[in-house]
Amino acid sequence: MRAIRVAIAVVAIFLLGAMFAPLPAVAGSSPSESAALEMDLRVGFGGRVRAGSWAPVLIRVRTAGASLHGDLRLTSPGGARLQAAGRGLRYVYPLSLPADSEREHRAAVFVRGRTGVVRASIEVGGVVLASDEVNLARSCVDDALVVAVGGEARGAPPGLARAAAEKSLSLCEAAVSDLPDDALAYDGVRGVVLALSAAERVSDAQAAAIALWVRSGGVLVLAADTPELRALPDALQELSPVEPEPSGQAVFVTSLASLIERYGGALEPQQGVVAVAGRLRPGSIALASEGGAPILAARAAGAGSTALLAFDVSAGAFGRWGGASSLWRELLPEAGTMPAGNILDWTVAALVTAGVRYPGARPVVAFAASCVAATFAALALARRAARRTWAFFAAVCVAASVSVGLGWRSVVPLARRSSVAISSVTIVESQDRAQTARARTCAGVLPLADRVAGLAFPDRGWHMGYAALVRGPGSDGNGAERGVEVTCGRDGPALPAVRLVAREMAILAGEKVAPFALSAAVERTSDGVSLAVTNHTGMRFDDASVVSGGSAIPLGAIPDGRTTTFSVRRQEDAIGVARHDGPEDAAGSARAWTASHLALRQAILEQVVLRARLGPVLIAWAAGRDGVVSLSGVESSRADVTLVILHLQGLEPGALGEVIPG
Amino acid sequence: MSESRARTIVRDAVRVCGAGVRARTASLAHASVWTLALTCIAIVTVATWPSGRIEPTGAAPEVACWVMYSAFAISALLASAYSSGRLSYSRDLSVSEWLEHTPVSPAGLVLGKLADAWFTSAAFLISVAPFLVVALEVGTVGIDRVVQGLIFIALMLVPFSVAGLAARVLIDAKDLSALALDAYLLVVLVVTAFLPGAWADLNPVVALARAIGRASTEAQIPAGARVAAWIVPLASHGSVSAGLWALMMRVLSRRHKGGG
Repeated sequence: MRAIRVAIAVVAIFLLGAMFAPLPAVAGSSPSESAALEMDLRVGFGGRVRAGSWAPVLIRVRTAGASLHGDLRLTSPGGARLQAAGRGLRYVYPLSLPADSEREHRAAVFVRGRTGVVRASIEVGGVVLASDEVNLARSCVDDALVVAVGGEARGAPPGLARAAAEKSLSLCEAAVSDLPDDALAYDGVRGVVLALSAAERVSDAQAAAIALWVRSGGVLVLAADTPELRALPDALQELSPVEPEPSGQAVFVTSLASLIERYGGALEPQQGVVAVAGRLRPGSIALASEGGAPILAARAAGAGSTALLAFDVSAGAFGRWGGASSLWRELLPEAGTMPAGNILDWTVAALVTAGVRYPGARPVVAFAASCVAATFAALALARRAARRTWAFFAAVCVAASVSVGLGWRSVVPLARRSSVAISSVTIVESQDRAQTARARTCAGVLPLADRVAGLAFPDRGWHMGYAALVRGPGSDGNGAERGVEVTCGRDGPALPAVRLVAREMAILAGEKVAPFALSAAVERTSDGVSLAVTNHTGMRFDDASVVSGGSAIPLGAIPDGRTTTFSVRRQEDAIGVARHDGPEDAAGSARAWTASHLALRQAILEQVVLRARLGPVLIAWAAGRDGVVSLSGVESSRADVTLVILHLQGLEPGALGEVIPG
Repeated sequence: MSESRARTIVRDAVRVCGAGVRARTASLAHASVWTLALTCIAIVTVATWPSGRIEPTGAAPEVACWVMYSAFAISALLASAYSSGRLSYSRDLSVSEWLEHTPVSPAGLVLGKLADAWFTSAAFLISVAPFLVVALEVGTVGIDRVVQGLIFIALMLVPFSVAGLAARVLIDAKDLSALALDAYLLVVLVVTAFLPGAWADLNPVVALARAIGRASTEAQIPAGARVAAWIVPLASHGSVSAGLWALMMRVLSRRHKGGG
């Protein structure tokens, strides 16, 4: 008996040890960076970002010894609402890397202010393998940025820092590899100075982004002689005010006298530089020439401009010149936000979330009940064969097989049919041109996000939203079963969300006209335009208007199932709308909209019209019973108004405005 | 151990296991308990179903996680309950009386009871399969991770079965407080089944690697840690099982030989 008690005591101690064996390890668990995986997160230009702007993000991931298949998660602070909710915007990108390889991932995040952290992590199965973060408090500035891009040994050109400081611009020095390839990421930048050596290559994607940014109002200064200029991608060469000689020859300029004459400063003794031999492109002007060769030229490019200093600014002569800061002062843009341009004519911004909409619980309950019943029935039947050992297992297997088949035929197809790639798209009109510009670029980001694309326009001015959507991601032949829900949220007071469920939808992205069941084509006529609207949405639209150039031209109703042609003559039908910009006015309008649906429509129309930056668009409201809109058999709830905005095909932005001035 | 003795033990084990399964098959009460357990899984599935929800991650793996861990918890309970049932399958005979009247060796009896409990509780995992299939499809959880999880559960059922059997033997022998074993079962159940579940990770290797502070994938964690991730829970429960096994054999052998 004593031996048994001793044994019991031993076992009890052993049991206690076993019970708590995993606990200390669990308590000490924490995400740690694997030695086989390295990640580096950079935000901004040279580590600097501008508050209230989008900023570039560069994530470098390197694997060693093992491959990686997981998710790259990028979290930015997001707007006030998200921060208040204690979470940020998440961007999730699938990441697959072979062993011993390196990959760069570029993105853009919106920096609302000095608070918050941008965090990147690599997760596999919910486990964080590596993470890195950047605290915005240390990198955020209020001034617009000027980015000087030069070689590591070159730094910013002489005099640039002083000129930037005088213009209240924040100078950042960045490497070529840090340049984003998304125009959106240049949001906080007013000027870029490219002073590269011929060995440093700007990628085509980076050049395209810079070109788009310039045409949207950015100021680009190229400091390059012939080899460097010819090494630039075509997109940047086309922006250059000077077209170099095809032979690639250079010209030796014996002095910088013309620059000294224009900007002052002494250069003793006079020294020469090797400059680009070429001719001015149409629309360019030479600000300084030596011996017929333009050594400083500029040209407008869209809403922005480009300047070329046609020699190597790291050369000794320019470095010793006292007038360099005066030159940069003239070339650099004024501080402030990007001017309203005519390139990025996007009308709406999108909050896009990829996701899955699951079937209701009712079929699942039925399925579960069937499974339980089948199992019980099988076990009860097995009692008849109780003498057989296998009867029990046979009953279990039969019941399981029947249940699997049942689920495979009922719940699984439902779940598959209900899955969509894009679950929620919020379209909101921007308050200013810069945010409007963001919207379009963000829509372009969408396809990159395989699983989750979260984009938001979090702060000021997002006071109202429009549903404008159109065509869905992928049709599997069961279009009728597939639905994409579009939720249009508005920040305005007492404004319920507008919900539109459409059968086929697509992001109304930039120049691409959405292939919606509603389409329109515009044709110029001698006294105006002819607008042909084809509507196969299954619903009639009322109070359609064409908006462009600050004017709304009423068209009337758009019937379903056919093409309706509207002739719009210049001026006679245009209506003028008084301008009252600003968030406060908008909020005031928002309060007024709740009075009635008609007032709401009118207010929205006014808002659309007021945003003259809208490209020519067709707007219309779904007819029928207010509160219910159904395009795919799924009724949305409490929809007060459904607005369709259609980007008009066949017109350049502003073209309609020229025909019918507001 | 001679070959003939081993063969005898195996034969006895098969007999005991078969008798247990047949007795269970004949019992309507057992079918009811089984159905009740399956109903719990069904309730878990429905309760965690992301009904009408738009899941921004594009998947709801937590459904599969919950089903999986519920299956683990309930099958562990079933395993210990089955093995802790009466050894004699008779209401009238105690274990020692049954051993005296039944020509079954103690080792064969123990093995048979364990096999009975393990097979029956593993069969419960088959019953859960329909729910797992649906959860997999909706949650987009890879089949490999689920198979890995099922293997882990199946292995963990062994120590739970041993613990249940030990409880019965020791309770019958009146040598150990039933409370101690019940407490053990409860705590181990919580620690083993629900703690990894808190991370909602189906992969026991990753979950346990994380639990021991080595957050990594299977491919990237060192081989030692990978093995340890499997070994730690199995070894801890296995060693307990071994201790209980030795105790059981001692008690049963003494009673078998000495009748008390």
